[in-house]
Amino acid sequence: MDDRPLIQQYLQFRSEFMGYLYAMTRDVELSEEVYQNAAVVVMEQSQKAETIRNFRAWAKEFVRRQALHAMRARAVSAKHARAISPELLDAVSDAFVQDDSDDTVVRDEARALKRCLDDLPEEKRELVAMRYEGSSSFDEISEHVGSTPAAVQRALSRVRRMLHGCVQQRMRLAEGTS
Amino acid sequence: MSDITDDQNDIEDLVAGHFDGTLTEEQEKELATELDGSAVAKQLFLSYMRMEGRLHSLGRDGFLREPNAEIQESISRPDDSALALQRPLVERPLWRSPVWTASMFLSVCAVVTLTWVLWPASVSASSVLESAQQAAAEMVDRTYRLVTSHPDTENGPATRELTITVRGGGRFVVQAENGAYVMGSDGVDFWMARRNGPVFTTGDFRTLAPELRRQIPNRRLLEDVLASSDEPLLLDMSGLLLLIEHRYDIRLVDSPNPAEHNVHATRRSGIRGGASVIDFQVNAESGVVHKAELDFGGSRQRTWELIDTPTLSDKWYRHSQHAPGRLVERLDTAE
Repeated sequence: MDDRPLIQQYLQFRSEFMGYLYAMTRDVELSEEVYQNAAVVVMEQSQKAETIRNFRAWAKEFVRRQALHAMRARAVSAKHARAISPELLDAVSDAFVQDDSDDTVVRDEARALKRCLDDLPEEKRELVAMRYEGSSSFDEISEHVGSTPAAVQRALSRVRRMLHGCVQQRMRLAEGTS
Repeated sequence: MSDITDDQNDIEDLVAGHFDGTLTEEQEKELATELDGSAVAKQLFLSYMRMEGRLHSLGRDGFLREPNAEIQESISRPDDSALALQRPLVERPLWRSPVWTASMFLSVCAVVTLTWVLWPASVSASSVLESAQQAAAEMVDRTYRLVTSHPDTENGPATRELTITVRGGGRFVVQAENGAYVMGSDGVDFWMARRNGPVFTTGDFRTLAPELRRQIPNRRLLEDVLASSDEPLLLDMSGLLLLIEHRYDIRLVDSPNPAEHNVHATRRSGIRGGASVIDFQVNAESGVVHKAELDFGGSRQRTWELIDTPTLSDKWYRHSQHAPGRLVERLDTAE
């Protein structure tokens, strides 16, 4: 059992939880809000005497419930034109909750991603920064780059695939399987 | 072999499409089926999902750009010839940028000046806002009760109360009504303590702001006043008024009390986040905001109400005054 404060353990999984929340909501602001609300619940739980044997699994359940609650609230407000299909939301949640990837793999992926980002050509890195630093929409980025939203979307999709391929290759190299 | 590769490419198309938000309803169902039935698809999705989370985290912390990279006026794109940067992208919300702030300041000055020239004898919403900002900037201790009501929690409607004492120079103390925690700043260090817990402190707000936000209960209650990760001092009425100045259209409304001015602020179209409507009451003579009601829609509301103007020493803003004898832990590193 990890003796560190729960909130520290929670922060350690930020990227994984944010990834899940973004996959569920495709809304960075909402993901951040849900993540932080779940952090409050984690803090409250830390005052209870309950022993937590598997914090990651335990926290995932909190995050999942908070996400579903936020999704319901969003559906009520009908802010978005089309919600993600319920089948996919269920499948994503199941994959997230059941995922027991080794912590080492997760950490190695993070290191690999940083190296892959360093290897990105400047203009591609700039594009990634635009998308993820300011959570700019394709429309906003396209205005800045003088292109169409569709072209930006395609370019970012290619960069994302490139990064993912690079991460997987580095992981395989580290494992000696490539 | 090539079939397997084609299948993986198809799955990757669906996974990437999901994060791009380009899938049709039919494709979403297809992806759901793959995730339910294929371990390979599931692993692929999860690794994309983790990468997406990391990119957002790195972006949030500002680690996606080269440390010394200069934003280029024009970047040609070998494989995306249609894409060329024409001007620097604003990294933060426009209303936070220095240029925007300066423009807004000049605009407000111009509006105030024009108003003064054209209608010297009348009171305008802008002039009331200006006097309120001046009063809020004074180095005077003011204690507000901050009440939030939210009808849509998991346990039904909820109302929470905080007491916030603020002074210029970065000093503030936030006390939960039930004593569950207290947090503040003595103008140098930020600190936070839960009941009977250790005191967490930092002198580096830029680094710790997210940490603090995550560690405080009722975080959403403070969200609007803790408006900037760059400015520690927005946890006060000045911050709220600054938000109004930058993001809202304001108008004066009739007040039944001649000693007060009432201002109605409506969030400008195209601006997301924050209250949709803010009503505040300002003392006509002193400019001090007595009450501010923030309406977030859906019956979620927040109210600031001035309850005291105490005279406090500098020492009162230190954690030793509110959580004496506790273990003190410094949190000076980001995640």
